[in-house]
Amino acid sequence: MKKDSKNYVDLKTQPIPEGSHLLEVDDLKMYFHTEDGIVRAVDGVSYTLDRGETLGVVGESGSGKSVTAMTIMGLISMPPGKIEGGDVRYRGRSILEMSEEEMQHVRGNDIAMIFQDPMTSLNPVYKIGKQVGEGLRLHRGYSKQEALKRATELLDLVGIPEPEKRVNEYPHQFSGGMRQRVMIAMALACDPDILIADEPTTALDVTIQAQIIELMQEMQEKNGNAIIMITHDLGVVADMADKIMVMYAGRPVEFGTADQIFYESRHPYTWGLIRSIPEQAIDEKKPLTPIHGNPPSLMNLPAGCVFAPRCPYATEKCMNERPERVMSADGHYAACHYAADEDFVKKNAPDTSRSRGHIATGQPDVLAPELIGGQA
Amino acid sequence: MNQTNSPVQQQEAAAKAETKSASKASGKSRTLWSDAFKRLKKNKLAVIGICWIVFVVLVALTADLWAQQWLGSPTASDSTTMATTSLLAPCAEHPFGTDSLGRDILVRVIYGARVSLSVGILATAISTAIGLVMGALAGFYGGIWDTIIMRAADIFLAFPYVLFVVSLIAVIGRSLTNVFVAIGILGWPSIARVFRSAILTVKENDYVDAARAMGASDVRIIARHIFPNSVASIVVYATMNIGGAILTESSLSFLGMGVIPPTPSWGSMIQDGQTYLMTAPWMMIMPGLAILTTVLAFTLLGDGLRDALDVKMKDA
Amino acid sequence: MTDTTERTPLLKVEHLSKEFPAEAGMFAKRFSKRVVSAVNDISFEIYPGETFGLVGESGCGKSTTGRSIMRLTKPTAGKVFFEGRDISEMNKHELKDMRREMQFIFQDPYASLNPRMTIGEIVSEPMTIHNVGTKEERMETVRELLDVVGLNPEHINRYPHEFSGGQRQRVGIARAFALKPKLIICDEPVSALDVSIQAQVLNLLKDLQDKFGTAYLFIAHDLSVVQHISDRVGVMYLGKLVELSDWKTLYTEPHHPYTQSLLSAVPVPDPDIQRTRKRIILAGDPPSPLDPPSGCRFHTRCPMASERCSQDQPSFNEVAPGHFCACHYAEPFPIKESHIDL
Repeated sequence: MKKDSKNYVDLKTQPIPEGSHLLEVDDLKMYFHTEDGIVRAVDGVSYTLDRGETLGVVGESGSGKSVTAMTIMGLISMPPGKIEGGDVRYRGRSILEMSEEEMQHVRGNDIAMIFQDPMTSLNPVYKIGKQVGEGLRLHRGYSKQEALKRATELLDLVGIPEPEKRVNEYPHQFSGGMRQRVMIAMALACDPDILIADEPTTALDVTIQAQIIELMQEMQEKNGNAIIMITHDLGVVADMADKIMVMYAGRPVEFGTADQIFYESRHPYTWGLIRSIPEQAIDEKKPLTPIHGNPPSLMNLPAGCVFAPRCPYATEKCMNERPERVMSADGHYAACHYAADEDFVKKNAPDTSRSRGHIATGQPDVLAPELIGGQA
Repeated sequence: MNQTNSPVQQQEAAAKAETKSASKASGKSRTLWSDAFKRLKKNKLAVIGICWIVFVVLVALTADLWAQQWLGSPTASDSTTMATTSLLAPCAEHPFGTDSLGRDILVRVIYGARVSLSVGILATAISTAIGLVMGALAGFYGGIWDTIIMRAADIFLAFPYVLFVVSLIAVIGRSLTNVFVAIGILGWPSIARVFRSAILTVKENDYVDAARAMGASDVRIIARHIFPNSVASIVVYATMNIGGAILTESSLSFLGMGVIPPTPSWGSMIQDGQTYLMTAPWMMIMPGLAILTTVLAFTLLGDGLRDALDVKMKDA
Repeated sequence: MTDTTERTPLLKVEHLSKEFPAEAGMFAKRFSKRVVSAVNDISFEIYPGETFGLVGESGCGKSTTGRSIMRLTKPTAGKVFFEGRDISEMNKHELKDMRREMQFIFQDPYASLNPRMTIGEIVSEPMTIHNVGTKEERMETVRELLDVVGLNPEHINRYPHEFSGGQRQRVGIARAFALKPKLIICDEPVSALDVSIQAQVLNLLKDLQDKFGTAYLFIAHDLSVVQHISDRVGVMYLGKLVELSDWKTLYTEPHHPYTQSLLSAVPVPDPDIQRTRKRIILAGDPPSPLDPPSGCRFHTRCPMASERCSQDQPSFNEVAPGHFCACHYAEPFPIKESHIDL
């Protein structure tokens, strides 16, 4: 069963070609062909990632954030999935063109993934030590003893008490938070370049979530790996991310640094998300300003801007024309017809702690009445 | 509603517009059963199963109108022509051939279908009726009911089934009625189990708690909430069970414990054909094919129904 | 909503406890002495028209509290008074009458609506059960309710699977309001919803409360949501109420170390704040309710626990008018930097 790892060169030891990034996702399109029609799950996602960076991918359920990650990992079954365009380059090499065998070396070794549900992502019939060490045996050719020894060290590293004892226990003997630590230990076992975390804290309580986030940050500082953090929680990305991609209906609607997204965002959907979160108001409570309506069906997307039916500023143009990305020099982009319009942005963007000039919160942002459902 | 133009109301208006636009032009609602039927229609194997069952049922029901005129009596043998018509291989006049007594096998298979189908359906109806009551008591009330009923079911299931039926018929006597009564009575434990586990699953749903929180009575909760949501599994299981009952009837007749000759039954026809296996194999093959295709048809339909009904609630 | 002393409470929970047998099965009740103490001796009051938030992590007993109040599960000890009448003593008939006044909104918008019933049947069911009006009148009320919760009244004959999660939650809300109850227990009503939909539903709940004067017991794990909707908030840890006060005091002057660490653990969607603030990260997992720690149940994770905390169970004292806290060292912002080893 052992893979012939001798003729295989670890991709992560290869230098990144000049002018490239560690990971480049370029206009990636992944559609599902189902009986009922084509589901455009990922429709033109682009971003770049370097070592040591954390990319936050934010979006609501069905926005395509998880499918993007699964596509990068080559974990989408095709059919029904089909890559309709674009490319994913890891250290300059196209992942989409790799054979399944090559991908098996990449998965876990170069790019590792942790999942949302720590209860089902561990195999209940194997001991923790065996599962954590599996990647090492597979990718590094460790012996059983070496793998177990390293697994013990890893468990210690991720803060599991009494690791010598716990490597010999089964998943059901671990709590949810501890299992997620095990998942992280497993993902980090082969010292991957990129760690993709798909809602890793969603199933956990806040106090445990805080532990896991801290652990991921600590590990990143130590190993220098990049993290792709997929979440619906703006708080989590504010905490962790250097760059943020906001996704809606399979498309990235805005991409930028954390500061750009939180303080200088240019897309009405991002504004809507920020306004939907209850503020930690200290003085008085004001009603939230939610986004109207429901996300569109990925099978039946609106003709123009995908967000137009829910956007309070949508115009005729938005209903009929797909907006191009409005890119600024520093890499910040927003897919909105009016993103370049300074007045529009200034008038409608939500107040932030920065724009208010103080960190206290309070004033919610009420939309100007003439803008509701009308012209921008 | 007051006239203030609060964000909440604007949002409601927007949400309403949204649902309106999302609704289909027809405005007609899809029930889960009609949805299931649509899915079933797409399943080719299930459709083949349905067609075959409908065909067999129609043939069996209308047999009196045409079969005897064409193929002769299924039971009486004409001793004068026996010598010339017995053990004929399938030909234009006797598409399935004839048996040792010169009777046409096709007409016997057609009349045998009456026995097989009525036993299959009636026995399943009896099993289902008993099984539903037992399953409901065990699943909904639990506790001591559950313990008694389920242990009784275990005991029933621990006996070799055919042997059990044979002994029961030996006690109550051999007749068509007793065959399906025996098969029916002994078939309840599996149905009870299926229904019980369906109830236990459905009971976990919040809408059952919601009904309780509204003040609904037990009867209402079972009738309105639990039964409609667990009946699908029973429909599937009962469909498959019909095939099983047909098989059991055939085994009984084969063992000489089924319907009394000369009434044709697929099982007894196979038994008759045993002796002529080498000389007149069609005597066994034809009723055998009838059993095979009919049981298979019920299984295919059951499988199709399961796929069509057991789908997780679809997201709108 | 701060002056609670003069009004009579709508709901009064006194020393409520709920234990479950640790082992399931036929003989478990008789032979096993091991119990899961899900709720342990908690008391609070809810006044007409207010929102009382109950917040805590999974397994802290907040949902069990809600279900015990509704009598969906029978409390092991303690009393629950609804408008002065003890629910735990009620017979079937009285319970049914009481349930006209008290309704429930569930977390899961998929599991809480019967898939075999139309929206009209679902929303009218409370009225059907309590024989309110004729069938036509009920359907008329359903149409009005659907309109109020922001659904199209024409969809009365549709089935739940034709709606999205947020819309289904609106149906659940319409059902809860069908009998215009005095109290609605909302068990995590928005935690299964996406952020933008969550805000819609929170606004709707607030709006309906203003309109009908209903009181809410709002159970949730998300502090910012609870803070947003509640007038008063109770914090639970491992079956115990550890702190209770009006929402503002709880966030500005938390007296219990657990409340404080909980507040600190919630990531704020603001990178500037996130970079600057000091966070208290609690070590370890919450202990099992099967074998709760002695003394203060929080002492195993508390950064400032002393010898005394592991022995004496702190009582639930009023530290300021209307502000209760169960800690030996109750004071505003009890956790100091010196308590956290970095």
